[in-house]
Amino acid sequence: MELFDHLALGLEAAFTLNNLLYCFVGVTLGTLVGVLPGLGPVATIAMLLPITYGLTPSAALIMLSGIYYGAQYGGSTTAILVNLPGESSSVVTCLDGHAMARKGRAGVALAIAAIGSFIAGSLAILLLAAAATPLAEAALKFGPAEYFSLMLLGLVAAIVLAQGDVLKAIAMTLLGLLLGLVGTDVNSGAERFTFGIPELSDGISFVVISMGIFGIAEIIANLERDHAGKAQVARVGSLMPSRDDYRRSWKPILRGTGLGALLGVLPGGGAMLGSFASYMIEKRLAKQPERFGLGAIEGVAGPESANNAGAQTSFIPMLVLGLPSNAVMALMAGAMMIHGIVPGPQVIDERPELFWGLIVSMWLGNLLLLVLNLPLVGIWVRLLAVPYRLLYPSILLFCCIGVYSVNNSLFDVLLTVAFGLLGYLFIKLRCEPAPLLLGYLLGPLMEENLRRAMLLSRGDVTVFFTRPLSLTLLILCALVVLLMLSPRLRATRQVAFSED
Amino acid sequence: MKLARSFRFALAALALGITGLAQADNYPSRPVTLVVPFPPGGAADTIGRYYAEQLSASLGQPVVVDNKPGAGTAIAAEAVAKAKPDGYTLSLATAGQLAILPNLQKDLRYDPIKDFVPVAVVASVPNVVAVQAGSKIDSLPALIAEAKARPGALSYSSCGNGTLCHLSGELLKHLAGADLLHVPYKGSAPAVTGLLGGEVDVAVDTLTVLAPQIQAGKLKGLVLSSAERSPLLPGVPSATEAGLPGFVASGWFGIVLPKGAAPELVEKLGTAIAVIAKSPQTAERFAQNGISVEQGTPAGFAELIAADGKRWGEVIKAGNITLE
Repeated sequence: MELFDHLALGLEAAFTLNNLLYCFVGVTLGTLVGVLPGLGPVATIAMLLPITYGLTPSAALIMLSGIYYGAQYGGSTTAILVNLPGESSSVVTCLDGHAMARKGRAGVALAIAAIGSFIAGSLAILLLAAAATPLAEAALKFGPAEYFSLMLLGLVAAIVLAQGDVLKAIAMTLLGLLLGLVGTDVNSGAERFTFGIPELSDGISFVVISMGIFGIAEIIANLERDHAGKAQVARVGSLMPSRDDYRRSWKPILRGTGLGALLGVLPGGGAMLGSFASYMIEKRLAKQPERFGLGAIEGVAGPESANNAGAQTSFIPMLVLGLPSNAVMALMAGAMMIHGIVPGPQVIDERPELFWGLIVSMWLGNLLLLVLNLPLVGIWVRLLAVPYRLLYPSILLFCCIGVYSVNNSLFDVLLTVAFGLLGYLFIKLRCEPAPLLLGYLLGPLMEENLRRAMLLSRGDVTVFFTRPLSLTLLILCALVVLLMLSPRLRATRQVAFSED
Repeated sequence: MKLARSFRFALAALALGITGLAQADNYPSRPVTLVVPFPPGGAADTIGRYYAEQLSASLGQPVVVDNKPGAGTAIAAEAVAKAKPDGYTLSLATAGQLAILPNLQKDLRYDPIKDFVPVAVVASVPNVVAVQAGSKIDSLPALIAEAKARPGALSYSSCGNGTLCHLSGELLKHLAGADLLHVPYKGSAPAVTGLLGGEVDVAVDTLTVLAPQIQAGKLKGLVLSSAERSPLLPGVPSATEAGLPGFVASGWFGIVLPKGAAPELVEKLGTAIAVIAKSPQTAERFAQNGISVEQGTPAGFAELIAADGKRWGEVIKAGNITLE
């Protein structure tokens, strides 16, 4: 079969000492970067681009991609340990992952995240190898109407994400939508909510909001709660998942992989949708959905698998079509250009050893990451025992460095502080930040696609209903809303969260 | 003893201060920054990084790229306009930054003519008008005829409102008397994806982005906005061949210094850049991405900025293009 020939070619390319070394360097760096709050793969890859001049194109791409998916592994670490999402896809991991950490199950959460990510990565890479081109073509069928309906579904189902008051969740989502509107409108070029400040004309960066609302606010709240500065976390239990944990996790892992892999192919925001979607589906399918938010392992296994699967399949538009689907892929395309390779549909045919070597080394990278991360679980967990008065200044420092590194902008750092205060207010008012972040991420995409769909249909609203895929998604939307309004569900919510 | 110590410190401080004067004679004596107004990884960034690398070698000091994306290149422009003209801050400037944006935005915080000292144009990239491979439109006259027969029925994607892609599209409409619906996207990649997916009928974008797609047979090129055909796309007619000489327009990239830079500095940099521009390695590296190497004098660059500013200003007025 042709696939085996390609994989053999890839193995040959990936197993050279040079490429193996750079794979290792890439994933280690990626993990480190993912663990450090704020500093993300985009900044790191941008910084390392010049260094790749002296490397072969294969080694350069292998290292840079290692940084990217390594950061997904590392990002879950901070999400679980200190409730700080490093990437937009780790936001959901914060919910149950950190809850597990507070119960002393941080080790289990970290281990399951690593194992789930490895399984997801392997399966996604297999999918990538076998069906990259058909997947890319299928993704092209997703027009603005479909994107809009998908995101509307995500937004409506985001209410399900919240643990408490539905009204508060809706309010937070709307606030998130408003925050997402800040910036330049893509269709008209008009500036909105920028108050004449040029740094705001490209919107508020995700890192600013997440570091502020999750990071700084959390630190303020923790310090207020415990003046003595002792560690907030309960005694650490076993480090490895029990058989029961595995039993609960394997189906979410598989489901998460499927969701993440498919959503990751969609150009523009697909990878992050996967983890949100996985969380919501796991919550729907679980026998006791009240456990979610309090430390349900399914809430870590599913989303983590989804985000790693999405990270692998998000390479598809760039490798198959030559069109990058997010900032990291744009950097990879740039790296290719620096090495004299023109990113485009012909790369697979003209440089098969590059394409297949990259694919095989992605799997190797995932294996290396599993081997790296599992033993590290013990060390990370010990980090929680560090007295908080030493921990929080370093978290703050890394947050600031991370935020600054996005745009080299001091304004962003100041804005983060402002969001930190806002986040503290939310904690006091018992408002969940997760729906706000989802609203912020999905809102602008929804608006862009809504208006583009209307522009293309020349103002005909029925386009959302006449296109079959869009119609399906909208029907699902309506179902979710109905489920929300059903009295049985409301009663369950009241009972489950009466302690809150 | 205290007096003697403080006297020694004062002497040391004075000596350190005097070393600053030495810079004027052996520029550059410390790393130089090249501001690039785009995020890392695009054609602009590639050009900037290439020149940074080559200038490092020829000037003997590291030239570091500082990406300052945002506000459609306005943030970088503002930062450079305010920088010291001591030659340690250079900037990559684009047609969009110096010729288009000032015509579109009334409250820009920089003046494209007064705030910068042009050193040299280094590169230019023409635009391509493309349709899907399976489209029944297979030439520019066919496109114009179709657009005239059904005004507003055809749509074209651009890489953003107020970008060169958009204005090239408007220029085409203006010159051909055709009416097409403009659909802006956030960048070239989504705009071309939109055409590949069939959401729009036409795409107007840079040669760099469209050449690989046309070469692979996924898209058809109808016309190139240059005077001659490109070796990358031998089958695509140039604007002059297609009968629209007014459509010849390129997105150019140049290097500028902040205002007030000394003429010796401009000359030294200009010479270094000219050497790099003439090298065959540069031509080869740029050619495969459809980027043409440009050479010129500071005066020529200043003329280009002024001329293009006027030209795009007319297109903007004629098409009633605003950012509101």
